[in-house]
Amino acid sequence: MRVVIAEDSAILRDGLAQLLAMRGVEVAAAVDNATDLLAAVAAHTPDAAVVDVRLPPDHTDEGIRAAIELRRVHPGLGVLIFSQYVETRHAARLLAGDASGIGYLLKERVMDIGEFVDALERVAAGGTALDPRVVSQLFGASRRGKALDTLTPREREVLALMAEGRTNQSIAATLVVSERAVEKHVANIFVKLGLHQTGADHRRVLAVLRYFEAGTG
Amino acid sequence: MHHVIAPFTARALRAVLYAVVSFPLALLGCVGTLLGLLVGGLLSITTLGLWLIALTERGALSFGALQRFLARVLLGVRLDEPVRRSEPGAFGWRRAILADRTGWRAVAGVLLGPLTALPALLTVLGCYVYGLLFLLHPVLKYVNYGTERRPDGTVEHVALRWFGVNLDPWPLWLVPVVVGAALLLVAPWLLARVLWPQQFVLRKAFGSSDVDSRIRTLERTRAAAVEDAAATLRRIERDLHDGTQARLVGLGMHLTMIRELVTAGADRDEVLTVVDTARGNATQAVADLRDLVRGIHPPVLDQGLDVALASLAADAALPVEVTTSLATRPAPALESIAYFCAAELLANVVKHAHATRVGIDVSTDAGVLRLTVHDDGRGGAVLGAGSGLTGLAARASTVDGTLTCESPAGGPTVVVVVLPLG
Repeated sequence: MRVVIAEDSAILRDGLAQLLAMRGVEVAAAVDNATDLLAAVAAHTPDAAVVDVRLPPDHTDEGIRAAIELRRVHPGLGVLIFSQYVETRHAARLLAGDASGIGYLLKERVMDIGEFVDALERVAAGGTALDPRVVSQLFGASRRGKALDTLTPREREVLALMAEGRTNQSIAATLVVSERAVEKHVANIFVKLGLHQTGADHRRVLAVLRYFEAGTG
Repeated sequence: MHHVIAPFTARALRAVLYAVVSFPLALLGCVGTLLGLLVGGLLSITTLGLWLIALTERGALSFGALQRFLARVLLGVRLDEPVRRSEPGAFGWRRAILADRTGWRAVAGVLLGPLTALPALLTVLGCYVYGLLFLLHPVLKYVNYGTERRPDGTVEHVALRWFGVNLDPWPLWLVPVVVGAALLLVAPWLLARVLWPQQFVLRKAFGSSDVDSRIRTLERTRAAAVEDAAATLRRIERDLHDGTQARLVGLGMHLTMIRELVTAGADRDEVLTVVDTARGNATQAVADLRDLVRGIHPPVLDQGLDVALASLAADAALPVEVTTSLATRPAPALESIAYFCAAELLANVVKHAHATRVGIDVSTDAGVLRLTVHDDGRGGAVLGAGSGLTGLAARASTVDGTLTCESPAGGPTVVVVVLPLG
């Protein structure tokens, strides 16, 4: 897997590049601003980009804007947002179009490098990887969502894990239930959110999107 | 020479124009307002009367705006716009106007207008017009004269006769010339004096009342205080985000790296290199935090402003002499503002002044805390947009304090912060 990193803190940029290299991830370029990021992606055509939210010059949401631009220009590219904060509005903006190939992780997740690389691979392969904190904050914000109110607490938990980009198998392991039970919950979620059969993976993404719409609406 | 042209400087002529314009204007406003009030009063048995009175009041307010404009443009006197009440809807508008003291003050001002404008007009007529006529008498006497027929049949041209004395022949015409010159010379001085009561009435009638002005000042300084607090929080957040937090995440990364290396059975030196980097990060994180804490509230300030300033001076890159004479201990908020002003001013000196010595004096007397920071640098510091001094002045103003800066090019620079002890 080949990645490009955009992170303005030299410590984190070098640390992340070294760590990923140790795990056999090829870091094609590590840059410190959005303009260089766009150029580096165009030059190296990586599988995924790891992008800090705050980049020069204003340190506000340059990373998010760059990510949206990247997704527009390179539709197949996985983008993993790498942030010190959960900024729900940013996450929702990024996920507004198509949730596949998007990740949003807090920076400290990198300390579990195994999971971090897994998430990066998932995003590069077109999946999603959302930080549990992003998910829980969106849950908090989504209390107003009408359709989501009809979900049972267990179904919410399953949806939250789906939003993190987990498979049914992984969800079952986390919640300590059988995979069949998870499948049943997932099916209930699809029904309650009004998502009809068009292929399970696509509906998974739609369910997650619904979840975000509620979180922002 | 200076005195000779004084009556004809642009400034003096603007005052003349003001005096000439303001009387007819005041007369017009006065008559209009009287008429409005009178007719409105007569009609007040019907609802139309109240509308007319409200309209008259509104007119008086507009007249006040015109007066403020004239005073600003011609006299350079700046008057704050008064704060007006407002209520929604046409009836609300009428109610607000009729109940508002500001409008009635304006009406009173308009009614008094001709009276207060008259002295200035008379001064212009008396001093400028007659002054010029007398001064130019030796010339004018050939043009402007009366013809007198004597009993003996001869005809005489007389231009100026005072107390039965004909002042046309030499050297008597010197008298009106001297009088005219004197009148002209005294004109600007006198005009400024007679305009003063008019400006007083203007301020009281059409300006912002003292309470309104105070409220406005408080609103402005409160906004500055809120902005200052928000800016401080933003700075702290940014420092934490870019500094300590990033270093801690970096530390975590290095620990992860060490774990990876150890698991892979890596070379001892390779592991030690990463350990050293991690240790460096930890040390730097602690230092960053210490600086940040000091930026929020220096612990040394708890021991008093004098001790804090002494410690500030000891850390400075320049020789700093601190003198303190604090009779009473100021409130913590004042100590904090004084400390941060001193710290920032000192930083400015180090950065920009090219100074060799700095003095910081702080004292309490006559109900104020006075902080003076002076240096022997190259001067040229200005209080203005984008200057750090403006931020400090705003901070001082939140407690009704002031900041003044004297910094001629070439130095020295003296900045004085005065904070009322309240």
